[in-house]
Amino acid sequence: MTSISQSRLDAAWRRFAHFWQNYYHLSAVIVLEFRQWITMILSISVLLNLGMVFAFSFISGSREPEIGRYFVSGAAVMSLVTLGIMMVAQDMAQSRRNGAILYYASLPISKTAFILAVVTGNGIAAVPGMIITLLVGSWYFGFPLALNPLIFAVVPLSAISLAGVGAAIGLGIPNWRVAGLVAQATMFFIMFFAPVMIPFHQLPTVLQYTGMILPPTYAAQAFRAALQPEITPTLLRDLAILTVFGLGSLAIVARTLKWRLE
Amino acid sequence: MPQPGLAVEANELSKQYRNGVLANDNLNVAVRRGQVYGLLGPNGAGKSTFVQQVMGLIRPTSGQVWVFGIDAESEPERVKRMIGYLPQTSFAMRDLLAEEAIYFTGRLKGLSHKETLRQRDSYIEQFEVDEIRRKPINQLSGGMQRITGFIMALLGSPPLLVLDEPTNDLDPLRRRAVWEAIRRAVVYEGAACLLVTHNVLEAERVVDRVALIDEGRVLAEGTPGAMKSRLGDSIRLELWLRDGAELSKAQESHLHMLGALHQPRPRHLLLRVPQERVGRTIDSVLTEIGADAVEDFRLATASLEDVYVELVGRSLDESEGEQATQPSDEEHVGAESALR
Repeated sequence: MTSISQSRLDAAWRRFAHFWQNYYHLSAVIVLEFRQWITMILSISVLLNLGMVFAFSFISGSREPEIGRYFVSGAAVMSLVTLGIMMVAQDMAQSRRNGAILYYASLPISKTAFILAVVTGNGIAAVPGMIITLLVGSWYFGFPLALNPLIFAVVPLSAISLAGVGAAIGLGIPNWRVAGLVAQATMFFIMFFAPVMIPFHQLPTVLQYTGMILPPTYAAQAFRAALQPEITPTLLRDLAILTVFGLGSLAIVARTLKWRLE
Repeated sequence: MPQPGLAVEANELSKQYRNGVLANDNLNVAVRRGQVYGLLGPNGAGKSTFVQQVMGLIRPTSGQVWVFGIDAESEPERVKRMIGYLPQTSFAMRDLLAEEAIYFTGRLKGLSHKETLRQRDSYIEQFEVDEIRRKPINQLSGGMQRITGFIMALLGSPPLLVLDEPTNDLDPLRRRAVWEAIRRAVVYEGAACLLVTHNVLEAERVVDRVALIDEGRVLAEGTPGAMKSRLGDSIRLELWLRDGAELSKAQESHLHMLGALHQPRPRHLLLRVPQERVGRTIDSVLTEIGADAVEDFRLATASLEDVYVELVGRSLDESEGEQATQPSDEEHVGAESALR
């Protein structure tokens, strides 16, 4: 009996070690693939974020620190949205088209490890842009930056939820051009019709309801709360919702990504 | 049940895609350890589908495929651990430096850090491609990308190599190095190699057995010698005409009377004639078209390509360009001297 339990434990440990090795090396591959383009990605993402912050500030006609904090945190979350949804969608669609996914499928690697590595790589690439946006925004609007330790949970959970949407678009839509268009349309919708850059109460009722079922809403709320030192029940609730979204999107992507050609 | 001792065994394997295309139809293939097994056939013949079925990437509609006795359909993860795969076109990690891509492939195959570095450095040295180390794969020439992919396939000394056009885009010396590496893996390490190629003349020198596939079916299978014996004792006369020289209709019909004429390109002629008529045929050809019009010629016994042309009904040259039938520099020099 003991030896059976021991052998099961050994088998489980071997599976975990295999998964971890796959995840670690695939994440390294994805991060290194960004290296050639990191300056361009970083510059464009920072310009895009700050452009959004200033544009929304001009439209609102206010430089109030609290309003500034809203726009800056929204723009930082848009970094995650850009990389998580648009770049993951384009990446997946292109990898499917150029045979990269087929090559990975030919190796003895875990599919879940591959998906998590894509999310991790894209999440890591989004972080420098988020930090620069926060620093410049806090200086411009004059609000203090106080990071809550839960920010280290908010960012990865948000990245997983958002990248899951991106991967589902990239893998689920047969044509890579259409997948790119859908990803861009999704970005546009999130920027203007979800409570990320625009306060929840200013949206029409129908968009308030749709916002409630979208992961970026909770990513933005949790991110804003994590810029305050206190751990509030709302922050914990948003983290729990993001966890559910994250697990759900991973499960959907694991089903959508076929390690077989049919 | 799978037969013991076989590296790959396909038993009445068929695949029909959802759009109705029948990619392979009742294929029976057996590849032994220590054997290079060539899969020859035109584009769309069903070779790639078969290879992907072997790797467990495509489920058969009916029939089975086993790799070292393991069912590729139900246990693809176990099968993948035993295969080194070189895809025909692209692979992943194209933005990585070549040495990084090779390293990570080794790690993903389960090799240790130290062993991956040892094998990577040894293969880079063996193929004399030190210059690829610090270059991103997407900036390498087609040939260097091919070598990089080949090294990735060899990592871990897998017992089965599945190579799709391994020598495409390579210069003659590196082509030879690739064939030698395949031979070494097969002869000294006891691996098996499933080789998909259009380069019939080159393949003929390395394959132990070959299957000619068209429209998803095996047209013929056996050793190259047995396959060629299908054509009897005929000799192939190959002629390359000089620039500007062209055959008139009358000359063409005269050559048709001498033997089975095939003209892959306007200035490249293949004539298959019975052995006893070779001398007379050469005389007739040179008289008919004139020695001045001939740039080069070569005599050879029937090749796998002739078998291919006979069975598939068209030459690879038409679809795959010059590489397949152009003789090596060495052969050209020999023929040129003979002409003088």
